[in-house]
Amino acid sequence: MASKLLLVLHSHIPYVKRQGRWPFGEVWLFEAMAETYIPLLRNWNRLQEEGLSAPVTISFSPPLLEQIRSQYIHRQFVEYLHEKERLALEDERWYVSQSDHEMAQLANYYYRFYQDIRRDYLVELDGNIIEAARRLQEAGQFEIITTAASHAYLPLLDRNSLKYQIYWAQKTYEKHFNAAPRGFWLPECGYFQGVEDLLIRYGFKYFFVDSHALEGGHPCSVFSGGGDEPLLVEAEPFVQTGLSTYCPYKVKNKDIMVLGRNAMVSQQVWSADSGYPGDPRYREFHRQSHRSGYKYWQVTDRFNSLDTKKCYNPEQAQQLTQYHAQDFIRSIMSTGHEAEAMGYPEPLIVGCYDTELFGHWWWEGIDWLDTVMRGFIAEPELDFTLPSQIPDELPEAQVFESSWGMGGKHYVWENPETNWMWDIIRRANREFEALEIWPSAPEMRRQTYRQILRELILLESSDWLFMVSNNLTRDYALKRFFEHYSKFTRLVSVFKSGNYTESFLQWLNRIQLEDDLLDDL
Amino acid sequence: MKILILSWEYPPHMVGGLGQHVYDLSYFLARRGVSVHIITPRVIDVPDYELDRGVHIRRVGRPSSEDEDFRAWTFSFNSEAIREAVRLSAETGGFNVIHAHDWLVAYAGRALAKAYEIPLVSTIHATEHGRNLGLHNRVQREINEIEKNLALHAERVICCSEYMAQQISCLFGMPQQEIRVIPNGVVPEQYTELPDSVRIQIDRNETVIFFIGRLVPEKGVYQLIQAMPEVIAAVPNARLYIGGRGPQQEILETLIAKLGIKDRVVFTGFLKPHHRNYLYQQASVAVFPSLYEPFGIVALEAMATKTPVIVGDTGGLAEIVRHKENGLKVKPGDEKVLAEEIIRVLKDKELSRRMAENAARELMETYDWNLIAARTIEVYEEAIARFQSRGLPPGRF
Repeated sequence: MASKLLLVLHSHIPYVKRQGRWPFGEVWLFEAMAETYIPLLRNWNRLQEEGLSAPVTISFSPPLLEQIRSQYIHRQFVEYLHEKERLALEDERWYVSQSDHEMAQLANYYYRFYQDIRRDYLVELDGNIIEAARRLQEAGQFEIITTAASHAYLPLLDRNSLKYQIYWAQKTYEKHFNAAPRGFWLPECGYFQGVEDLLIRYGFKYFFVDSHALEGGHPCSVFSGGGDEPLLVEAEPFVQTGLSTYCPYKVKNKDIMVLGRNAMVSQQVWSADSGYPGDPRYREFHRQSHRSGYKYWQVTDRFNSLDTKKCYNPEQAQQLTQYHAQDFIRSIMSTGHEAEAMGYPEPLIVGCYDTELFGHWWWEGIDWLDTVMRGFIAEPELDFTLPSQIPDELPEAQVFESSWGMGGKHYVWENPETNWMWDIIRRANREFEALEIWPSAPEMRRQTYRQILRELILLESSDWLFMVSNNLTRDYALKRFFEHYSKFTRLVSVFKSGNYTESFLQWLNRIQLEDDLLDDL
Repeated sequence: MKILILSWEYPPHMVGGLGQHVYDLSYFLARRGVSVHIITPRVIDVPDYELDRGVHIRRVGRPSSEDEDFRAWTFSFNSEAIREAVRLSAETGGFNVIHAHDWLVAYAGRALAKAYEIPLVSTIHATEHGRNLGLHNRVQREINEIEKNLALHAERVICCSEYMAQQISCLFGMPQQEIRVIPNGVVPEQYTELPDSVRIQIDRNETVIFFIGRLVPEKGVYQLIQAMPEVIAAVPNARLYIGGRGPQQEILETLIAKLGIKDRVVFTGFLKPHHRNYLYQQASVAVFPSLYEPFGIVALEAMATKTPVIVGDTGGLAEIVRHKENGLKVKPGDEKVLAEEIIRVLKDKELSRRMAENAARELMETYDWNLIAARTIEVYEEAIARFQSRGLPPGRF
């Protein structure tokens, strides 16, 4: 009997298009494209060319889709890649002039990396990431799912906003993939009882939760963010249910499947303490060159300061990914054996990761993942599966309100640092609900209404809350939060008064260009 | 010209000198024909809207309370300020400039300037780095970041002294040409009125030394008290009156007890303007031995009341006072020198008189609010011109 790995990669970048470039803003998107999405697609394309199959479930958030399909981002991204090549070349020359050949080689390594990425992007992917993903879906290698319209944290949202978040997720997916989405990634695995009714209403067949949502017990808080003074919260244990993530379920009395994330398998990759990415020989994420921003160092010792890092060695790190991939495969097999012993003859192992972990955060993660996929293919005891391959007849489960954040519930997004933000979000939501619109309204009125909704949806992004809670780029998050709120308030004011002046309409066109997601609202 | 001013303090809500500054600035701007609208936090028992001498005052949000987390309250106030500004903008047809005072209104200022595409002028009254003599914890670093972005996103930054301009320039990496120095001012008439009945009894035979300000370490009250025994030895009828409140009071009281000079020091508590004027009038010398002082409006108050003044040779105070001409400067933190200079002022009547006269004359020439308002309007015009010359963001796709 074989264990079945259901690998879920969740891809999301907040809406940063035209909202600052560097150090915060569009560069986040460009980095994720160059370091994660393009290498990932290239690897899956290669597997396919070799006649190998490693099907994976992958989500693309609506803000991500809306950004990467835009011509503006396409052009800016190519410019960014040229810039990265130029910086690497300059670094190389500089290190040569310093007779530092080890560093010069590394600079050259990056130069080649970005040159390859540019070629992969423009030639192999034809400058179209979404189309490449769609082709892999057609070939049965990807099962693409979606998530909330602006990656809002759903358990704390008002009902009407919830509806928009889910409805526009579905619409955006249809626009980009010419098909109805079947799966929904709950942002941050944030679940509450009732959200499945809306998912069912918009045609979704399945969603994912963290393990304690099904099994109970102690939440395994792997996702607590960074920052210099991380949040701390007491986790309340959940009631043990006797259910298991080794098995897919139907939500009790509902026609929708729920899949529980396997905490242990996730931990192995995620964890700062015991996970693979923290190995001393992998590339250090946090130290970068003051000249170019390139990262030339290895983790060395996680607890020592950044200036004590040793020079990075790509070949050595590459070999290490082989070793860690084998370790991962072995651990999946032993997990499978344990599950069999517990009475699950064909255990399902759901491994959920942020896509950007591979390549962007964990530089070698892309190679590691590729080796894991190939190892799985070669191993008769292991198999892949996709949610669409799971049969319809399933046992039922009750699901606990939960998330994959620290403490297992809502604390990471709702705490003394962010309560005031929720007050503003909820008030904006009530105001939006009070607005009246009918199809026969004049175009400028409908245009204003659509933009109000866009600003509301952007205001609700969980990203701002997360950054504020974890003190990561907090000023950027607050700036964006207040800007969307200001635009929202100005639009509502004009919508109510009906005073559509010429200068207002010009302004409306300009901000529509800035905050232009969900263009067929 | 129509200006929207955002300020955390506005009378009667006064914590430091910010409220008084915005109060005077807005009145003198209005006198020069500028239409001035102020958005400030709500105060219990004070109307939400007032038209005071041509200045429109709007109070919004929750009154600040000690039970609430200060930052959460601040951000919440910013959102209320945004709502009010949007409403006002529709009502009045929009503003030409947004003028934000200090970090507490930074996000509302920046977001409104962005959403309405109008220039932002920021006044940085003090910096977190300066207030704390460095950045020591997460909250301080965060406030520093907010201050920095308030400065960098403004078309023009105003501060009150060359010293502050330099600090802002170094701290936030901003060219000094983009910073405008406009000194603070005083309205001399505000310092002449005396109370109907005296709250603090002062013996006719005693020599009054006066300090007023928040009781925090940066004001140097500790050093002033340490200087007192030597002053008393030379001038036995000297008595120090400390006006104001603050977190340092207990520490100061302990020091006074230790020095055995309890009967020579009086804490008056918070002084309302008329009582403050009375103390200035009674004082033979006003002493402000600050260790950090972006401007030092108290030096001007002393000058307006013709009280000889001794200040710490730091920040804005060092720029206002020229040694032995309009006051005396002492090395910050040196209680020995401080004692000597206090004794000098108390004994050398001729020097005291000359300095006070010079100071009073200078006050009219440099620190006149009419002048300050005119210079502020120039900065608004500069900001508008700069904003327009950059043009609107081009419509790219």
